[in-house]
Amino acid sequence: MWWPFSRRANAQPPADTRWRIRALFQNFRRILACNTQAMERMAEMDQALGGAYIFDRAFLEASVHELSRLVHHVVYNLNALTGNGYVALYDRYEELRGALGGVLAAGMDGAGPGSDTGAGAAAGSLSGMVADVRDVDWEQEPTAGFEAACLARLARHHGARIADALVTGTTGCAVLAVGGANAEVVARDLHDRAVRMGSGTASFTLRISAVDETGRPAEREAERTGVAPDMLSPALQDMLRDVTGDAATTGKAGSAHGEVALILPESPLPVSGWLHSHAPMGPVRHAVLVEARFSSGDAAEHAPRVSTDRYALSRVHPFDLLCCEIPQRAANAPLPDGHEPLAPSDSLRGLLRGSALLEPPFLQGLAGLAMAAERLAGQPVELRWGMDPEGRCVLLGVHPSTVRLATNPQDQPEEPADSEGNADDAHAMHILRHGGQTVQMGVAAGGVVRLTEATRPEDCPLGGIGVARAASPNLAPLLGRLAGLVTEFGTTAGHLATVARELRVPAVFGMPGVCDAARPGDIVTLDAGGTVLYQGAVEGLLHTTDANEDLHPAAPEYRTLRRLLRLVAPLDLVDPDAPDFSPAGCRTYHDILHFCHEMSVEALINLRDTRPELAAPRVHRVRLNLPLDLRLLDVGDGVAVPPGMADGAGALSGGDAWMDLSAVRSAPLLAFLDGLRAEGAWSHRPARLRAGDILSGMAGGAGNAANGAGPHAEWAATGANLAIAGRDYLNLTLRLGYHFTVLDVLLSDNPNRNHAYFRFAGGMADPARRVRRAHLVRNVLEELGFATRMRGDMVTGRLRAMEHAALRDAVGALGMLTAFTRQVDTTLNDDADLVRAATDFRLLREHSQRQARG
Amino acid sequence: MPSRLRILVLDDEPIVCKRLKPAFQKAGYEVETYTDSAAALRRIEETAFDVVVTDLKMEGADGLQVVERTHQILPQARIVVITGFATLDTAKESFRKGAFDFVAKPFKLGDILDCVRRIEAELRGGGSTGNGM
Repeated sequence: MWWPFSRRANAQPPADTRWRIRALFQNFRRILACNTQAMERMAEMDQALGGAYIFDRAFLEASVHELSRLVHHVVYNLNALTGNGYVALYDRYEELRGALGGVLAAGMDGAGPGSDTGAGAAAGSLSGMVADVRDVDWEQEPTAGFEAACLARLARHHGARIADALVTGTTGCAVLAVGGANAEVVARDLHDRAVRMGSGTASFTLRISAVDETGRPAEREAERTGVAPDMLSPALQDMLRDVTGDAATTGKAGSAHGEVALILPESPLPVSGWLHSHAPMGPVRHAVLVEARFSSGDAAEHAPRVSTDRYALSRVHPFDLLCCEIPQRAANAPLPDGHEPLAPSDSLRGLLRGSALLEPPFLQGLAGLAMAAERLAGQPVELRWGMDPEGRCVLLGVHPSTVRLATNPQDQPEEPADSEGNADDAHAMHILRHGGQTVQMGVAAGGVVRLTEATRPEDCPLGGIGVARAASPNLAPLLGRLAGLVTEFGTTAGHLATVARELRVPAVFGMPGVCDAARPGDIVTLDAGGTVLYQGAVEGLLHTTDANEDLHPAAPEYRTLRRLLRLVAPLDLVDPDAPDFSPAGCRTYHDILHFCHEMSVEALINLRDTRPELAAPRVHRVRLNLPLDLRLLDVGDGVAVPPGMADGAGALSGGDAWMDLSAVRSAPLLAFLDGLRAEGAWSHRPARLRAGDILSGMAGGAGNAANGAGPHAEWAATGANLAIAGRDYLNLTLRLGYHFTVLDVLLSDNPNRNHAYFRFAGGMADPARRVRRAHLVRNVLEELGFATRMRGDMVTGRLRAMEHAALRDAVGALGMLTAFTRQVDTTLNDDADLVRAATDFRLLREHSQRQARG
Repeated sequence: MPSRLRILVLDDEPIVCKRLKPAFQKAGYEVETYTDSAAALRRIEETAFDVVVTDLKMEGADGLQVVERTHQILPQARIVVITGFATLDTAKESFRKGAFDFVAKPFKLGDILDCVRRIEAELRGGGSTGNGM
């Protein structure tokens, strides 16, 4: 609940309590300052994960130490401000600090807790040593192996269909290899789960890989097909003996750290094959190579004859087919899709099907998956794939690339002129735009896809370069489809940045003018490390980076940093009205910081009620040429300090004091008031109310749908509005008519710190018209670049990481919107009125902007 | 001076070597990396590196000793100190012992590349000996 002040007159505080009041404001200021420092530290850690920094263990330790210090300060200051109102926060802080210490202690020396194949293994349970491959997390790569971790990620984030499979990690394989009672437990679990997963499957494929300490395959691998369910464990133990025995015999244990096993139920796949994301020695230099095998049933012998197609596709979206090698087939021989070669093509209108096993859309889908897997792995990969009877692609395995395809020199096209130093052609390419901040390093090329919050994943082609105005968190579901992402605005510390790093999608936020420069469909190359967007595919740059192998995503330092960030950075506690908005609901340091900030603002607002013994701080009443009672509580350079009050102490004494607008120094408040007072924005006409509206208002109508009626009676009973303002900061609670607005803005010279939060609810009109007004507000917010949410007649919007001038304009527009919508709900009788009001507001803004330009 | 600058990187944390090596190679330099200071010093005695990039806090011979010894063996080499424990005192001490530049961890790849390019420009242009005190 936000309403701050009662109407009683402010009393002069006793002299001996002034220092206590001053101390409370110091607590609030420290919370803001520590909050800012902590956010910057988190951003630095996040950027390190994206490859922007060279860092070491000392950096991780120092970051955790500093963050912990800042969070502790914030918790301490909130408790000082509230008379120890949130002691439970200390417990949450201690728990998180302990967990971070545990990650630091264990993370660099091993996989750490929770690192085996499943949750059960984290708890030390033997039965947890076999897991569904879909449940494997990237964190578990060291013990579950690269293959399982990569397949799981492809399924989870890139929409790939992967084969049903179980994985037994290094610990499980070690237990099986030793034998005894523990091995029997694991074997029984493996059998039961395999039978359940296979649901009647007659046979399984077992694949064992020796892995190094990062989970990447070492030299040895073995595969056995056609294993009956009852023979799974004996076969696995037999294979493990062979693999480890060979190593012992030959003395070639190499870099192997252990073994992992993949268990796949076998199912009929009409076509299967290999997929190489990058085959520099293939028939076409630098291409995705697809190999497709088909067991054609027309062979004279008993065994079906196998025929193999080979295709080379561009590594750049839209993955054009470059060349192919298709063996001769009979004109009437059925193909995997059931068609014959001379049948009309499904994908190429007007053409015949041809004798190729795979049609272009399927091939392009494969290429997109190959490039996504390469980004995840940080190096070229080889994938096993199959086509199921329904014609869908299923991934069966993935491996870091080692094979270089042999080529027939006669088929080899001429080599391009560039060889070494092939990044040079980047300089000759046309730079579309540059600037902004690296979120995730890397180089990617593809067709431009314009993204808005309304873009659905299915409308976003796999492997395109996404271009958006703002780095809205609502774009996160699209990231798995993209090869790269550029935005005009956005914070490298936001949720979208975190997801981009998790998925290793090269990304730059804050590239000026990119939305105008990059036309949808054009091929572009994004060099995220260099923050440059080039026109066209810069082949040299793409191949020089060699899939960004130098980022080492599997290195222990990166794994540790990723784990630390999961305890630090996510912000889940965003809704102050949610039941879990409490100390116990804080799951990360960011949650604690946000909770403390919200509670400290509320504590200040309610200070007169919660700490009556302190009397009230002086609140300035701002003279506006509007019927608006605005009280201003200065929290640091928000108003000009009168002579003789150098430390601002005088502002905390005595009753409310009138203040001219010219004394306001708070940049966001001035911007808001400029909009609020804009010519034509504030209607002085009385509202056109119906009887139902009055009844609705009396019932506490404002925000009923969203908030319940409780708070609204208080809003109606009060007449003042409160701005907590500093030079760069504004927290405003405003009641105009019967609607209620909350605005929280940081408007500084550092775009990465800047943000605006806007909440709007309520009204005097009936619910239908209030909802129409909410639609109007939401549409305007979205035009301003806000990420919005609407529940009933309540609209919330968030905007982050804006340049100073752009955010000032947006805040001004919010002021204008607040004035314009003051009573507009009473005029919105139908949707045509809504359109008319939206047009009126647009014209008003344009008029105001023309005036501002002089 | 050879056509390509020869750089030795010494840091006992492998991730730093792993990241710096390809970055320097892409920029056209010859690079060797070491995580052990004794091995790095042996190599410095054998080969005339143009640039030595070294951490300060390491086991064995620490970075300041490496700076001092490198300065004795290869007085013409430019020494760049990288450290996560940057203080004014350590920076002063590094420069006193012969360091050319001082980069605090974490740093951006561009920062260290700029530093080396500056050195290259000076070496090719016969410029000053850097920031050393």
